[in-house]
Amino acid sequence: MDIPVKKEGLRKYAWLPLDNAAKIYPAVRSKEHTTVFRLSVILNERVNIGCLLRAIRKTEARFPYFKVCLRKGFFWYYLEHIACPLIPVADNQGICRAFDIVYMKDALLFRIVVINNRISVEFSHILTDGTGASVFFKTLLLAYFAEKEGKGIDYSATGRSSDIQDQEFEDAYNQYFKADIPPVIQYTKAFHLPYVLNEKPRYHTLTALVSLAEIKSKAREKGASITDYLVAVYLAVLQDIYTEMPRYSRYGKRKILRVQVPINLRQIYPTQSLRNFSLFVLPEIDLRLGQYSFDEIIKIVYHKMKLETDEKLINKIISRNVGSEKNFFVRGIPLFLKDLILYFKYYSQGANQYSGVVTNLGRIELPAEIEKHVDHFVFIPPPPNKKLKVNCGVIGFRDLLVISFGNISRTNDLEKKFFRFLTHQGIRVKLTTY
Amino acid sequence: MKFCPRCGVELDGSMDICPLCGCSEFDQPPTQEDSKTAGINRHYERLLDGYEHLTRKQKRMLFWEMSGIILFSGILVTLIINLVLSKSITWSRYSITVCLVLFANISLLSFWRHRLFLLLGGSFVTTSLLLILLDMYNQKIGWGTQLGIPLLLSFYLVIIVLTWIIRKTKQHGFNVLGYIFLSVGFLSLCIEGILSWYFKSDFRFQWSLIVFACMTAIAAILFFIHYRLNRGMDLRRFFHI
Repeated sequence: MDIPVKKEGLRKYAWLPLDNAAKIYPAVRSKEHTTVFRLSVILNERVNIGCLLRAIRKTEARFPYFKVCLRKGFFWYYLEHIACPLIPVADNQGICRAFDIVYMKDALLFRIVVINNRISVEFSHILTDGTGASVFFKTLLLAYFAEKEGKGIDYSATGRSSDIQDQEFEDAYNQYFKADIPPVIQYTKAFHLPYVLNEKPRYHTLTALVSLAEIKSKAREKGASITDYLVAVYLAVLQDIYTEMPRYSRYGKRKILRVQVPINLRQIYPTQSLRNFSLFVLPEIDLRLGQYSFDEIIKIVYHKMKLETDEKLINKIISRNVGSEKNFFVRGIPLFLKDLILYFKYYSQGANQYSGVVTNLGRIELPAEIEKHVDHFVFIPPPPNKKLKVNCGVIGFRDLLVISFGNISRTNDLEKKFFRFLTHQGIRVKLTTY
Repeated sequence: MKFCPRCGVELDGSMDICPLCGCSEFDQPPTQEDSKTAGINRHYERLLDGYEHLTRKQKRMLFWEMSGIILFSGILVTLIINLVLSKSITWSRYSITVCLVLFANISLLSFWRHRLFLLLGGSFVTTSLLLILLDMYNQKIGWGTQLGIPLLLSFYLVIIVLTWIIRKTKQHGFNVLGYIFLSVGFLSLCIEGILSWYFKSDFRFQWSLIVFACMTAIAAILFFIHYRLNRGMDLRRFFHI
């Protein structure tokens, strides 16, 4: 079913303030630290560009609030609706490239890139998070296969209706903000990988296919979820890296290993919002207390994940984040000063608090008649900042778990150790070219 | 079925060019082997393009070398003719000095074109040197240091500030014209000031004030057109707090 786009309807999306999570990204983004992530689908057949073009026309009409560009206001950045058509481009210019930083120019904050049998969407985090992007991407795929087979789009597979809902572009952080909640405790600084940065363009990726059934059974053996298991492996690898460092290199390095795990808040709060709506859980091990076995690490991760996804605690974090945005003094600071403050705050506090990031987008479900055309999905995380150096993204489809590492350093040591750990656990790992 | 050899995507029968890359030469359905070699072929295509066309840097180097050859040939020829005819260096020193200053400026433009302050600073130093030398060749009447260099300095300063502002400006339009008009007004103030100091040992501004006022008024109109009328910006969204 096609979406009717009424002009008066579009007035609602004429401009939008950035959501709470997105406010930091314009201040910290750069040509290298792009804050852009990618979702790809690898099909069993070559992409038919005619069908894709028609599918894009229908999908962009369904998600008008994504067709915006970033503008600079006096106090805050904002998103302004632009009418330029979404045109796919050939996928031959690097992964997760930055979007245009010229604020006067009409430049969208997402793109569709295509090559051979691979369709990808790249979204700036300013616009949405992984869940928002995956809903858009699934709709695009449904529209594409509907075009190929000459049928209408079945929106039920995306969990959304064919009509544009106002809730989809609301700032859910604001909706669930509660005033007068005590602030959360600040985290101490964490260990960072000691690797040397790559030459520009720094970002490179490594992708591996893992059997979902095998990793699931291993995680179940330990009584944990797949995310808990992968985070525990990441922490174990960080511990190995720290232990293998020469004694003199360890001097001055923090001994707390902490991994940031984004949590999709839509699982906790009933919202339809497709803009950013996630927070982080930070499982950690403290090497000042000694070395940890893998079983000990997974136990810590499991309990930390359970404790910190409690609704009351999440309320506390939302209130902290949104509260500072609502502060009248903060609101009155001109944007150029806000940019400076946010930049220094991000690098002095935010990026210092964790040693790595593991983002699990979950399992992508498609109707059976479409599934047979798809080989697998890939989720490439945004380029990490200079302190973090490595990011990890995970996505599942059918019996495959696809683990991708985005790296800006000169070594793949962490990735090697990570996949070797999995193979030693009896999980088959197949590295794949992307 | 048609396939784009560059992007590897399948095209509709009605499509004459690939909408992704604009390629108009299509392949037959590729085999698995073709898909593997597609990436390698693209790499070689790019290399071949590189051999056939010089890069901008190579073009700049070529221009610099050619200018060097022409200017130094000119220096050599005038020097020899002067020596043969007059048995000493007399009139040829003018052409030698001008050629050397010209070569220095071309070198600055070739190697420091992205380093604005070094480029303009270097150009100012070499051109000042030219004025001093020309002054010296003409019985040191002093116009080079007292008039020529201050005028040159004001000109270069205005150019540096103007270029810096234009580079910093995010959207180029009527605002650039506005900045140029303002610069012309300011430059006219400098010229009259320096001239009046040289001839009357006093700063007196007459015609330049009128020029400056006119230029400022025109610039104000241009800025208004650019920043208010052209953008049509909604104040509510611009100042949302």
